[in-house]
Amino acid sequence: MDSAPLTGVTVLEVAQEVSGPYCAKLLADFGAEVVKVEPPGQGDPARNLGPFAQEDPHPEKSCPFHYLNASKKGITLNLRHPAGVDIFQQLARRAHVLVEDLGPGVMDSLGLGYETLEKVNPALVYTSITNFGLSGPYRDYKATHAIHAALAGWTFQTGEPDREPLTPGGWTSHYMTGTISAAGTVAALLCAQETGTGQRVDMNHLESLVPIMAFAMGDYIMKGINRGRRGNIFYSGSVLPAKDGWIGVNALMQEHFDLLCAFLDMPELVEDPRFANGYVRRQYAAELRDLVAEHVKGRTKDDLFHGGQAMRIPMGLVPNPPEVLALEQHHERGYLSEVEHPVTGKETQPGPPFRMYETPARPVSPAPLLGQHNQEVYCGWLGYTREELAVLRQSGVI
Amino acid sequence: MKLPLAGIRVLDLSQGWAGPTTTYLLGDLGAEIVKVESIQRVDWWRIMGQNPEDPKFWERRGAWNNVNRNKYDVTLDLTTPEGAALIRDMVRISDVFVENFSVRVMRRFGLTYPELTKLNPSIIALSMPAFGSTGPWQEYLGFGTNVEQTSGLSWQTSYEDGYPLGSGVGLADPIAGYNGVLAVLLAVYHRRRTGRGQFIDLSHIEASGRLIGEKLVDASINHKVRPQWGNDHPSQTPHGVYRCQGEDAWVVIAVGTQEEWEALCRVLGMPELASDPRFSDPLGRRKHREELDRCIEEWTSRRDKREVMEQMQKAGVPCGAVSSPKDLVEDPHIQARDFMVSLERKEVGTFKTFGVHVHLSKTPGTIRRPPPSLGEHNEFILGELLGVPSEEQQRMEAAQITGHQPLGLL
Repeated sequence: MDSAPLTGVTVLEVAQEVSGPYCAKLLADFGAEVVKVEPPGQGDPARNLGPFAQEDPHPEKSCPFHYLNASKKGITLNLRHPAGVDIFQQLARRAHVLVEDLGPGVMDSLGLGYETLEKVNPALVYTSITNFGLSGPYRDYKATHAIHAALAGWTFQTGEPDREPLTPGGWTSHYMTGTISAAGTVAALLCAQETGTGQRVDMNHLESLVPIMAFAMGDYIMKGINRGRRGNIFYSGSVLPAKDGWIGVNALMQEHFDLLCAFLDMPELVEDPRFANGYVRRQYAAELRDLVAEHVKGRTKDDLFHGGQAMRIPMGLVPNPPEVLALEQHHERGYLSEVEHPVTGKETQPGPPFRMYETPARPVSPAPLLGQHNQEVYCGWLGYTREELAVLRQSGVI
Repeated sequence: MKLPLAGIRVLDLSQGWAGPTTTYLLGDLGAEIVKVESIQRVDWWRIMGQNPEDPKFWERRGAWNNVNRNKYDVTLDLTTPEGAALIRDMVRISDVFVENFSVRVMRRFGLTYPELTKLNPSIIALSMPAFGSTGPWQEYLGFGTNVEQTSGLSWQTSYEDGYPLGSGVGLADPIAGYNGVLAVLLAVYHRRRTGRGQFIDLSHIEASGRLIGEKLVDASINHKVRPQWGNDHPSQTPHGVYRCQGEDAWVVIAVGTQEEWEALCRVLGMPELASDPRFSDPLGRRKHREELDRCIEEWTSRRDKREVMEQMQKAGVPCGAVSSPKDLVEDPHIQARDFMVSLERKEVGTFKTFGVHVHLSKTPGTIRRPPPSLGEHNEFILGELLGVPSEEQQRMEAAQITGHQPLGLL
């Protein structure tokens, strides 16, 4: 077995909240040494995002921050101070990758734009993540996950038809953008590996989300159908109440539907012309959901999930976060890692999104405390003395 | 500079949405993708929900056309001796092997990773079974819907105090697809350094579970089930989806800072709200948020959603129109960035699809060919790449080992 694929790759992260940090986290999972650069004093605004460990809103206790920044080193550096810019350039000289998500033009205004750093380090892969890209009328629009999802056409597809559209939960737009940005970064590293030349990787949230509209956008493009949300009857799948919680009942293909009718003892549905094939079932999806609901409400979710899967029907559990932590498949596969954080103690984090058998991911280590690795990076890497470090700290550079 | 994956050939047995998303992205980055289907069992993503009365309906599904560009297509019945031999010849001349079946299928075809390495020792094999290649659920069946549900993602999409609705788009598939391209790139990076390939096991529920990581950390420490956000946001008020003028027309407004709040009051023409002590701080706004929402909707409901967005954004208020598929295709920002591109296919004519979304400045990705017709490249793959004589190709087509028309659909 070899070490993780990005072992020996140094990544500088000047990013906040979710998408940039998640991109760099993926690179860290697969072996890169990520140095997260935070502004002195307050650090990454994600430190203020709840929920917090023990419900205590303390900058070292944010659950999102712990998750998004695990396995990284953390330093503080004031990029609005000339000395900070100089130090950052020294770091950029020895880095292979920079990940930033400060917004269009911000790094340029700090004197750390691509054109500048390319001269400092021609092999540098410079990954920028923005909301809407570096051009176009929305370039400078303010945005959050809810706004990305709305403009990407996604919110229009989510929720009940007789209610307002529903913002998809969580920070999905940021995670998806972070994931595809990590892929773009590794693609540029491949080129740098061969040629010694870096480049700019320019990623944005809107374009990263549009491909998930493959379905609805495809229907519009090919058939002119401008369809919206269908509530709990997404295609031929639904989340329905079982005896003891929610169960996902899905029948995508004809064979699944036939098996489902047998499994739930609904022979009358097989003969019903409204459900004769996938095309007509789509027109009567709400009626079908109500009929199926009658057949699942008296059974337990585990019975429905495992019993249905044994018959090769794509049933789904619908766990909440504590229930996800208890899924037997996760435990059997060792997906969940226990991490000991120096301030808050034990916590569980999900493992890597995929397993590379020859080059396993690195074990998860806790997120850095604010400025935790200042001495290691500034003295160890750049040769500053501890006295100089004290001066830099006093003058607000680090 | 060459494209990052120039010279890499990907043998793609994947079907549906997840695997084909990985492979179109690898194609955009320069890899040569050989998609393998059979006329006995075409990629089911071609036909799902299509009207079987429509001519050539298996070529015309929008969702399929969106994720299969930059691919060659060969049909081959792997259950025949000829098909079994030819797929092995293709493994020998490929760099990457991608499939997304449950683990039973590759076992049946004798194409598990140990068997692949006997044919090609440095092959990179990406396996994308819904629940992973090991563990008690390894043979369970998964698609975008039930993986989204089981991973924990569906639970987080719900109206306040509602029930789980799910993302509405089958989210788990593109998530797995995006992770798949990262996995292959990492493996290629490793192989270029060491010459060694490897096996990659991508469980869709694990890839999707990463998108609720912060909730899992919270659950492990605080042992609580948190309330659903719906269209609200616990640290942003006002926040929500507001009705605009016209049928099913809405905007999202997400006010985070004091500055944005004051700007919102100015746009609404109600500067007095900003100085009203009930709303002067975030906690007060939260307490009286229903009243605020009524004021906002009173204003938005008399205006066009795009006008609302433009006016709000101009004033510095985070706001976005809720785009329908039509709005998305016609979106002026997307148009200005040339992100909707036109492709042309014999069976479909000219159609729009999204462009390359991984932007590399010196090696920009390209769309070199439109999505392929069923078996379109049989002659190229079997004849030119594998050296099957044309008489033998004709015999195989007559024996329905290859072909261009699906058999026994739906």
